[in-house]
Amino acid sequence: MLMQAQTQAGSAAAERDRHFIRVENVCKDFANGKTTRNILNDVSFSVAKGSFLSILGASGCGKSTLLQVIAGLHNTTSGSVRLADKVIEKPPFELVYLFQQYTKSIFPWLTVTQNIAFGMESRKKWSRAEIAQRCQSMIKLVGLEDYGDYYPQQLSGGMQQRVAIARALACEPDVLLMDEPFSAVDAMTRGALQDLVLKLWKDLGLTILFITHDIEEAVYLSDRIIMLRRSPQNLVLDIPVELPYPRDRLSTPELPKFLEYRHMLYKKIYQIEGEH
Amino acid sequence: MPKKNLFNTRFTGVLLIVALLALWEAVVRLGVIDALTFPPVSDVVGSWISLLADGTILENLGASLYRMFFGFFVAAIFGISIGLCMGYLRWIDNLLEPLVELLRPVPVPAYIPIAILVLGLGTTMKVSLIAAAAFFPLLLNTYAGVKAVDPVQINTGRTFGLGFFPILRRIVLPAAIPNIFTGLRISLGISLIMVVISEMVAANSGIGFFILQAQRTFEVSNMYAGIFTLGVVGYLLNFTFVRIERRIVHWNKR
Repeated sequence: MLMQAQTQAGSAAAERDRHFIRVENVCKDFANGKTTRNILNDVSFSVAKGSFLSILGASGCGKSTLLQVIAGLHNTTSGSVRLADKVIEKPPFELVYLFQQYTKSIFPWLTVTQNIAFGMESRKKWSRAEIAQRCQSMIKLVGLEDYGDYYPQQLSGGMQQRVAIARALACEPDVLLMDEPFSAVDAMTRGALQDLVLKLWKDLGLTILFITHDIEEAVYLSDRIIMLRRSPQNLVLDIPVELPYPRDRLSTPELPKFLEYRHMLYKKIYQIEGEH
Repeated sequence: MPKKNLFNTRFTGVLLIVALLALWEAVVRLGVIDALTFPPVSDVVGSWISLLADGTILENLGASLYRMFFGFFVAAIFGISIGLCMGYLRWIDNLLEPLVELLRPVPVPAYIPIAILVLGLGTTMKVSLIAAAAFFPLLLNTYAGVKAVDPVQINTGRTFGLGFFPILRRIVLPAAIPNIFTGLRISLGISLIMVVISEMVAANSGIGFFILQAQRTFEVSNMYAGIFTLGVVGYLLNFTFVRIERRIVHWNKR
């Protein structure tokens, strides 16, 4: 009987992990003067704990809105989002949203170290000394040694994005929501940041939801891809990406399977565009 | 490489001032204009030095600066805090905005008769007028600064779990600091103007009083010495203020 209870508890935990983030019938309207515009219409899906989900879709399809709803930054018009079975009503501590506009998101009046400490200071989880120590290890983790006392405007775009990532990870979140994080950095930096995120995802056991325009980026990074289009039928595609990790900048994009995914996703995108 | 030329330096500006003073001296000495209303610069400087030496200037300046800073600080406290509230809270904005728009266009010297009637001729009256005049630039600049805070910054605070007051203190206030300093600088200048006006209306001390008194007793070079003093003080105040501002608002390179 005890055994049975244990396996039940075990399967309940497994079930919770499988639906770690649960988006249930989410609708989101924005009021625009007298009219309301529906952005998300009855969107439902679950994200398993530890997965790397990329969200693809053309501009204006509601990707960012969806991610901000999951982050607790917007209310839903109807439907709900649950994180580990708890309904998200305000931004939860377990989850950090990384803004696309990272240059605005990191504070110009704080140094790199102070920016990284910012999120930790609001959590009352660490002592002053621990915060200082964690800042140092985060700075090392994202490769910004020697830049701790710099101000954001003294850094390049790629370095500023590293600060934003370090600040988010310093809080030990379970979930990272990233909204086109690398769209504004050059190709070389983007490659390095992609590999950094993959490494951190594996090392820290994160769950990542990642918005991108870039099909190759989505296939290279994620273990699952969903594609959105404009409402009413938002969710058009949901596929696993069965490519082995660790992924390699040179060999992974040359795998036949990679090219298959790429081909299929481009085809789907063009098909959707053709319908508009 | 640009040529190191005399006209590329500030030296020419200083030279212009010296030239104008020399012209003034020459014109008066040559009798082109009346030395009674326009004493030669050398006389003015002489009066200024003796007034500095006997403490007259410092005494009056002390009285003026005391009133000025008193009014300025009162304005800063109210202007910044009300500006923050109006910018951050929609309902306070709705409540106060029409009133502010109604009162703002009235030049504060217009209130002098009321102020004298209600508050008398003492320090309270002067400080209140200075505070009233310095209040609006502070209010409006703080308000504009808060309104201009990028929503991304506020949402960053929210995603890190900051509540209403921590977002105000740790994000909105520092983000608005450059605008607040602009307001402070403008208000400091206005405070100096207002202290002189109020002292000319009713006072028995202060630089404004001193200038008016000198004019009434035909000590014309003393009158100019008083105006000189105001020029120097105004310059030094602004110079010091800009230094402090650059120190605190170091990230805002304009």
